[in-house]
Amino acid sequence: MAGNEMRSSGNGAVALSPCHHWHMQRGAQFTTSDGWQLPARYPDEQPESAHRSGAGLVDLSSAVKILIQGVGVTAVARGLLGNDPGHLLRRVIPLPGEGQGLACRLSMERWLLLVMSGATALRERLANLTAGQAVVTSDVTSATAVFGLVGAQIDPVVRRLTGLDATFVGLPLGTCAETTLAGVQALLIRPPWELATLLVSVSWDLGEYVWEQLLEAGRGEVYPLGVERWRQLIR
Amino acid sequence: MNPPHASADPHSDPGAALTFSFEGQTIAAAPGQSVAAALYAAGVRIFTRSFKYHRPRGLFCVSGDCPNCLMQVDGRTNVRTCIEPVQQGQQVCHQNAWPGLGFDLLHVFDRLDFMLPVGFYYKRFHKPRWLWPIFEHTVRHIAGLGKIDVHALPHVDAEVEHLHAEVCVIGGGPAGLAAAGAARNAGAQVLLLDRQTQLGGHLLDQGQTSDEIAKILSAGANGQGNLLSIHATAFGLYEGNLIGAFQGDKLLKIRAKQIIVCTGGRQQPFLFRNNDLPGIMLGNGVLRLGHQYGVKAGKRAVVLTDNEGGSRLAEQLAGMGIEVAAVIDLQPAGQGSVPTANRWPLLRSHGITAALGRRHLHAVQVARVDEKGVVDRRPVQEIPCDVLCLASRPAPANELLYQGGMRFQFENGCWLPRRAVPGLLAAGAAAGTFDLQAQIREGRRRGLEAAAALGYAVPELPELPSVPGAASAPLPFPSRSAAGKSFVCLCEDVTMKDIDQAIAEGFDGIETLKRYSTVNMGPCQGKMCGATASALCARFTNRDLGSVGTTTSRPPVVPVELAVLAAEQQHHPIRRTPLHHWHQAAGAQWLDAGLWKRPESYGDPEVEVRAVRTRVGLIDVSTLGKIELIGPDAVQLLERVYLNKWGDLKVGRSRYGAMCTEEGILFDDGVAARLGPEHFYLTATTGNAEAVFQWLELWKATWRLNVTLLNQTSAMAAMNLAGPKSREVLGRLTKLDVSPQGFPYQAMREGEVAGVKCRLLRIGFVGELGYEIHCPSSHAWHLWEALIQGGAEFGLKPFGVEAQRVLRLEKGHLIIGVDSDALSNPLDAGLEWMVRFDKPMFHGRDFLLRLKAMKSHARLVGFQMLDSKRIPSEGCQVVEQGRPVGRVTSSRYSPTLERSIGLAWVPTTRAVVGERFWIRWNDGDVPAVVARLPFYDPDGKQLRS
Repeated sequence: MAGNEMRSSGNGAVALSPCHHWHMQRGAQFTTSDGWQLPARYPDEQPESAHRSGAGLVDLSSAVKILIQGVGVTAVARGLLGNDPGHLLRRVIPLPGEGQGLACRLSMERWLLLVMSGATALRERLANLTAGQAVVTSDVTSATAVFGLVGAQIDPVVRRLTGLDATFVGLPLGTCAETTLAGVQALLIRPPWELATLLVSVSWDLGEYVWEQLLEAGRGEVYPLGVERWRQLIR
Repeated sequence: MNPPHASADPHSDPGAALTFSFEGQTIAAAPGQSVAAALYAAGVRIFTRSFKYHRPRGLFCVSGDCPNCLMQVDGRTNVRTCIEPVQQGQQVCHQNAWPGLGFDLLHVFDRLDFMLPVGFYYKRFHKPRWLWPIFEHTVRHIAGLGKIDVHALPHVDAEVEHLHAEVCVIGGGPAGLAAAGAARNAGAQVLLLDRQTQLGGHLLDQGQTSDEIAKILSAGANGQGNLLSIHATAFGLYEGNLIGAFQGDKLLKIRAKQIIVCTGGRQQPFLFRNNDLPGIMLGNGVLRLGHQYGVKAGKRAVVLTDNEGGSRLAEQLAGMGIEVAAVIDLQPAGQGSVPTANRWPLLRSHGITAALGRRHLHAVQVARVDEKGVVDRRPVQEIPCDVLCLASRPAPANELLYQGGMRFQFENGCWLPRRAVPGLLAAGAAAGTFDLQAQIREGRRRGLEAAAALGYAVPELPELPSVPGAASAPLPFPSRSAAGKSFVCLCEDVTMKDIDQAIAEGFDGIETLKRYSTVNMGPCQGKMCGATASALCARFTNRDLGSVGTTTSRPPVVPVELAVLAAEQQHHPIRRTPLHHWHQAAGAQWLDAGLWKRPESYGDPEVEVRAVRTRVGLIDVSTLGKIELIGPDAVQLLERVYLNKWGDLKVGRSRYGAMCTEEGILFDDGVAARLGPEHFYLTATTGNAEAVFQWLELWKATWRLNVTLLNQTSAMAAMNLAGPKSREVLGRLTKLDVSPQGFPYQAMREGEVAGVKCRLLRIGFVGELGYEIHCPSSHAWHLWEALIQGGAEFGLKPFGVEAQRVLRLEKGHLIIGVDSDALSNPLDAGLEWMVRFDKPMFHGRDFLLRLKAMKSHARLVGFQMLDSKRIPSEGCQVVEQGRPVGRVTSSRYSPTLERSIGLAWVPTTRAVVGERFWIRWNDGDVPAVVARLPFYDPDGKQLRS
């Protein structure tokens, strides 16, 4: 089945995150990447080591997000991941060949693919893999905002906003969970990365609200992080 | 005396003291002291006046359980000052007394008690009836505790935090420490809650040092697990092992796989005349005052006890420098006894008949206890003293266990847990174990049981203590005919005679007794009176305590500020369209539409209306619901949920449609476009976006249709470019053929606008040539700015929801939910043209068929006022011969038509163009006339141009 491919445009059209205004107000310097204007750095950005005692919050809304659903999704996932994903739900698996790309199994017939930048190769692979399969692929890049919390103080911040046990015990590396965060529906993703990170995905129109709530809940402990510092940390 | 927990004695070291204000006086206190302890040290003995009789009351429990120390602190009412830490500069004052605590005029009620028998509110103030307003005013004035300053800013700093643990131990006394230590040693993640700032529970009252307490906790420690100890008060145990607790202003919601409740026990008051006099205190309260706050309760004490603990208490009092005048053992001969001591007189099988003193205790009258456990009315001696220590047998503090589903049985003089609840354990005095070593042993056992239930390997479980530490003797009572007031409930001033009388009136079950007498219903919620009330009920009804039972325990166990409970509701989500900040910068006035913020207008809606009618306008409609349907059964699903037909809709075309519930009630409407043979894109109203998506999902699953639904509401922004010049504006920004032939009315096109991939629908909610342009949210700003700039030379103006409502009203378009309600059907709402009864099946078909056959009673019609400048409010009644027969649903002044127009439900008999009807307007009825719809562009030339 064909999917909805209403995705980002070229020709000088600039894509903005739902928190763009917030970044501007904070005096962020912007960089353009893949047609997106992203906050590269903030004037009062904390030193690189700050995440060891606090937590950084980075706006990753520009990440390409593709939802695949349908009865044929397991076969597609097998092709993408190079092995059988098994039957475990809420798994988060690195996407081979996509850097920090992740494949999140939301339900038996629903996968979310998350790629931090550019996804041309992935789209091509998907086009091949989904051909003839009973799946619908949908680019949900503009449907959800994604924020990355990185550092030592993730848990104290998150537990002020959600009843879900989002510690490493309740949400171990390589898992995800849909829950309520700050009163709205959210997907929490614990990537299987060395750097302690929690990704928060919420509806686009609630992006700025949740961004503000994360900063408010982590007052004094959470600071905004530009994408340059983020890339250094994640490297 | 050297206070171990209060850091300094302010009277010996004024330099280290804090000061606070009490009734205009400056009081010195040591850091760590409670407000009440500092006041007591400063000589204050009356802390409050009782609720009903306004009798003087002094410190009693010193643990935050009883109502005797309630005061107003920094404007907060009903603060339990015995556990409220002193803060520099606090403002403390009394409550429930006038003019003051020393002399309270309302103490006259103590003499008028014959007018206030038990259940007096059922018996008094009925006659004469005309006096009731005076009674009511007086009662309202007198009743209640404390005065809230309604002008003060609310306390809004509360926040919520969610904690998770494998094992949560509630109570940091010996049993709790042992349980937490054992579970931790077995490898579990343990969270230990204690309401005191220091761990140790009642051991702290005994003067035990923190080193001794730490030994219990660390016994056998091997560091396998984790233990986090926090100072927080648990107030409720809810379904799913959820613990409600608070830590200052913070609400804690704790989920634990295993919960061990070790909340200890509470000493109970004894009954005798004037048992509420200041100077009468629970033994543990006296010890807490001395050991934790460094304050001596008095100079000469009498100890009244019903167990061997009385002797220990006397020893400890002597150790604190308080002279022990006598120890009085209530236990009848042959039912246990207090160990003899030579240092003070021991009166076996004696009780107290009365406490003497007006505002403070100065002596007690002592009498014998007979073999039935009744204290004789005739005193045998009078013992001068300034403090009477009640060393009663503790009752389990088991409220949380009851809330968790555990049940208790009365055995051997104590309530013991009898029903196991998975994931819930009890240890220590809360479980009826009163011996210290037995408490520690039981705590360890429960800690290991909890760890074992979690799958941790544990050593062999230690034996549980075989015999509970409680004595078996029933509580001795005064004679039923004893004179004076013996208080059962200190909160509500319920006396023993009140209980007797209530039972005599037929309220002989503990729950009905509670409701009638109000015992257990005050601020202590039965902590000080529950056991006594049950015991009295048993005694006066000649039943055993087990069959009388106890009252139900419900959260909160301890008072919680509403602000703390409300912390859960601190989140107020705001949904912003991608253009929110553009609107803000353009001076938008906001309208709340559910969680959405929508621009109502940018200053003058009339100017905005004229811009759309004469030039071109642009409105942000991103809040519309947007849903894609993909799959071979997409048409089938649409056919079944919408009233109109979809199978014949060509690819590249769109159509307006509405849907009903199964009862034929209008549910929602919107436009659907066909993107491909099996691919549709539909819009829903802002308010129903999520409901429509869920509705489609429900019926897709119910009918097992092969269609995938995608909710694109957030993914896609939408804007409506409308007005005679809209084609020219759009033409500048796209290569699409926007000519009337290339892009006709109700067509759908996909293509780039200003470099952004868009989906365009040529529809006209506002009744003009218009394009609804949908694009990814991330590119909405770019597209919007391009349209604004491109339209500048054509006089383009952004317009808000208010202008849109006027424009659609001029066009006669209804808004479902505004012009319809929970009884409106499409036939009466003027949508009969849409309903395709020739379809074999759709939601509401059967009902609508029946409605069609019946005579309609009301119709939605357009109207205009005879006085063209008058605009009736929406919701005004349509009346006929003075009776309401309909209502106005929409009304506005139309700048285009220069008169007021509206939509209204009127009787079918009136629903004829030109027919006059009446609208109730304030104090009169004004005439309106049914008008032909639409008011504007009736031929649709503008729309289709």
